[in-house]
Amino acid sequence: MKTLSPTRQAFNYTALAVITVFMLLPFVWVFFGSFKTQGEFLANPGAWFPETFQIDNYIQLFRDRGFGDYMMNSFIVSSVAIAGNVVFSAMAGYALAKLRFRGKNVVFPLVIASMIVPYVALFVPQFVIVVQMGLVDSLIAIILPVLTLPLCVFIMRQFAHGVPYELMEAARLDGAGEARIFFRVFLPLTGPGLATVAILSFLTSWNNFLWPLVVAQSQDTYTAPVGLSVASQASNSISFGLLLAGAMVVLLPILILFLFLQKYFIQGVAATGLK
Amino acid sequence: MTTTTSATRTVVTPGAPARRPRGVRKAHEGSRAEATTAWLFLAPFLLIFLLFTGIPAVLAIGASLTDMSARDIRDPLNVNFTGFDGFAAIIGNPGFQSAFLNTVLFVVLCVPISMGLGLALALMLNNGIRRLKTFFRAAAYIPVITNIVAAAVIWQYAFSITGPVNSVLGSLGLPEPNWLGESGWAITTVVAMGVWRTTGTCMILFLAGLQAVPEEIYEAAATDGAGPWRRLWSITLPLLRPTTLLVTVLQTVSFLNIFEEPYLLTKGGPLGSTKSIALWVYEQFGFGNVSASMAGSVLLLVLVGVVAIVQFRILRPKH
Amino acid sequence: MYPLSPSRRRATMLGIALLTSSALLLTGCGRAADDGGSAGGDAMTVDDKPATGTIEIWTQGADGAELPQMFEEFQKDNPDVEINMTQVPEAEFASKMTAAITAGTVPDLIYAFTETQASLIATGGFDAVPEKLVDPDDFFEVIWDNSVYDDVAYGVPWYAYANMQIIRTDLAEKAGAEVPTDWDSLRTFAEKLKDAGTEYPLALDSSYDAYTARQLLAFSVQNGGGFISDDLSTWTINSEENVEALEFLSGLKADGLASSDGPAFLDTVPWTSSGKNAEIVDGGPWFISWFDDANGAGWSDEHLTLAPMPTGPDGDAATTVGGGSWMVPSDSENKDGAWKFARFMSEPSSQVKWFEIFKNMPAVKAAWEDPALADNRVLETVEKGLESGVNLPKVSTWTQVGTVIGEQMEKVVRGGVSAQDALDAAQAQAESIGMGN
Repeated sequence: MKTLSPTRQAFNYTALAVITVFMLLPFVWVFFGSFKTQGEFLANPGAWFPETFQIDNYIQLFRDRGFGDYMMNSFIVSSVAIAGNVVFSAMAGYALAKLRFRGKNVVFPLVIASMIVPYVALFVPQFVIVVQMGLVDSLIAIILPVLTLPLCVFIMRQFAHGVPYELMEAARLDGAGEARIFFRVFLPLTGPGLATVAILSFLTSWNNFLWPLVVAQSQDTYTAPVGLSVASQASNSISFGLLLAGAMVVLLPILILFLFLQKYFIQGVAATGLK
Repeated sequence: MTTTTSATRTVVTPGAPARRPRGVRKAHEGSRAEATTAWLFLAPFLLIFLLFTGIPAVLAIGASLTDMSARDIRDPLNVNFTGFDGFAAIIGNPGFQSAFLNTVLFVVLCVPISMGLGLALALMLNNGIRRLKTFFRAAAYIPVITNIVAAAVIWQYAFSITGPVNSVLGSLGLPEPNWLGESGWAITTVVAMGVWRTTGTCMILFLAGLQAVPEEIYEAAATDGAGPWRRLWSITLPLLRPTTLLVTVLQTVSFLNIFEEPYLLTKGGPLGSTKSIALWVYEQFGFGNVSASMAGSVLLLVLVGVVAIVQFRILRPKH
Repeated sequence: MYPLSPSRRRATMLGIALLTSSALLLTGCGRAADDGGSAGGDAMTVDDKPATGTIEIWTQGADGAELPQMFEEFQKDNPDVEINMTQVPEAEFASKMTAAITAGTVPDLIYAFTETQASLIATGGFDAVPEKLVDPDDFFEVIWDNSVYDDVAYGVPWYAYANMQIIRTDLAEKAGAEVPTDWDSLRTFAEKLKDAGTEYPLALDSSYDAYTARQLLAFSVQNGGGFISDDLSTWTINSEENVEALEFLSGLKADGLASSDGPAFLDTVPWTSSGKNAEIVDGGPWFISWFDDANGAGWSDEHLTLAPMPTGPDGDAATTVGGGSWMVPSDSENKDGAWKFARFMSEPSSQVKWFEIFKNMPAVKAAWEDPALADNRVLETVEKGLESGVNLPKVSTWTQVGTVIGEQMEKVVRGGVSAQDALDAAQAQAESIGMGN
């Protein structure tokens, strides 16, 4: 272990603390604000602390605004998105990195290209397509566009590059079929990569806003971000207390997931080789 | 049996028992089974890509070559084909030009700052402290995972003239700027929010890159008498080059597309000083100028593609 | 050996597939538009029988949360009808409607605010109000008129509001100032309050967008001007009267009688409550209850005086107004039910009931005579304002032109540009943007 001088450590801790304050300050404010009443926001926008810690906003969200249903929809969408991405990105990444076939050089640029197309140009045609498929107002329609994210494919492909080719080749020579090789030889080695994919796909699908709004035809299909936007509407204004309370609730699942998978996430990203 | 595998060729020297006769192949030619498997494995991705990126992109490009407006959405085939006139009109449009310059400014400011902060965080967290690593890491990443709409309302509220930030500054006797109402401050606030939201990502990527740097190299350098800055400059940074390239490209692409921060914080004001290209595109769509909006998106896509390619060329590590 | 290398062939096939599917999709779009009723609507008649079937309503804003109470009322006389409501965030309502109209997945009924009716109607996706459904004279002219294009009405007005002057009674008294009635007295009021110590006596719109342009419009009309010709064919943004109005407003800011920076966003209530402002010149009626929310019940009654917006130098009155109207998309599947509900909501009894539930003011004149709306100073001021209400230019390009005007107004206030030059620039841009026809 490198020797760390105490001054060095002290400096580091201080610097980190300052930066952390910058990062977390808005949340401190959100946390305290979620206990305020609308009147408090109107009277004194600059105040940091609520006058009393009333949990009315949280209660209203779940009891009166159906926030529980929205969260459930979000969980369903994101869980399927995680499952889909883990499986399909692993497959696609493996194919691009480890299998030899014609057309390889066409597909990979498509992956990169689809990561940089601006979204605002796409959502109306996407919606028309979904309608033609008869999937409007379904959670399926919300899930489909995020089922195999190009970024996840990219990450798995990079990760797969780090897995030694000889392993596949050896199994092939031993007579194993391609499917066997994928499931028995490759997949078990991909833990950190899959963790990365899980976090990224959860993140993308969880915070998606415009698409679920456009697809839904009834509030039963709303996901949490959309539901939050609707619930926090007030006459000519926003219900800040509800918005902040909702923001805290929406943040929790993804935060918990990240805390659990942090180590693997970084390992996964590291193992993509970054070359 | 000897098998040599390099990046481009697999050569099996003769005399070895093999299941099937194989000759010299190029990297993209494998066995039939491999090819079938490959396409099977790629099928889900390709299907989703076709439905949700490919076709919509083609439609968008098609729309950009016409004079489609909001009136035409119920009967899209009845528009006039205008070719590249729409593009010429946009490039000459002062609003678009200003949006272009604003976007360049955002990129020039946000990318280095977020990368610098991210790198600093990664360096400090990698080996600079003993405890609380998890806490600091999570803290830096929380802004990345927050719902953007809520985050923006929060920033807008926080930085309003009588908001919490100014109340703190006021109580310290410092001036209370008009964060969102004056061009200079508004740009600062948008940049700050962009940096706040993406530093965590940079940090994670740099942390991952640092993991690839073996301990021994540091030890060796330390025993050779190299100080920490020297180590950083001559060892760490060069070894981080692939990571740096990746982060640079990702951040640049991300900020060229910057949309939510100006949209939710300042709506592109004051005086259009924070209107990015993506925001201009969205605004045109809202005005009903569909073809202009699509053309702007196409130009944005081209810009991003070109910049990304150029960055790859310049920054690619020399092996 | 092959004319195209294998990967090139794949790419070509992919390209052909993309183009074919795109063409099919577009044709599908066009067909849907043909099947689903004519754009602009033909004359439909609605009878007096009860409504049946299902009515899908999309709501925007906070109104939606309380609307189900009105559904219950409606179902008393229309027991066989089922109403499904979907609330949509207001800011994204236009995007969602655009996508829905394109794909043909529209609801049966929506309501649209006056600011956005023009662009929605421009899509050609809404039906005309059936003849004899309602009598236009029942409504305040300005609100009815807002959804009339080429002599065809597209909306049934639901509620209306008019802005007003909201004045700190105590601060005015201390300064010995009187409630302003016209431009000159407005300025005098501000000067007296400035001398008495108020930092920025007047609160003027400072967002420098289409809403700021709307405020300028009211003052322009007060001065005898306006932004558009009566036949909606020409922009008249840089007329002399408008320039004078802009000079008046920006002069107030330049002389420190109003702040160039605010109040913005949430600042309005705190600034007036704390005495930083003494008057909101062009304030919506909802502020009254906000002041009570912020400062305690009864604060508004004690501290605020309400008055109609000032008249111009020649005594012309013009007030900023707004409201919402019910509109039926052309591809709706239950137009009969939809229009019947819209008609129901415009009956005076419904209008009064809605006022009691949500505090939105009726668009129907008769409803104002109900005892429930009597003796309410907010309502009295609003009613006066509605009589002199000014509509936004009824063209689909208003949002864009309004934004341009707002930007130019900012240049006058911050950039030292003269009012004449600013409006000339706005006029030029507006002309190139056109009327959207």
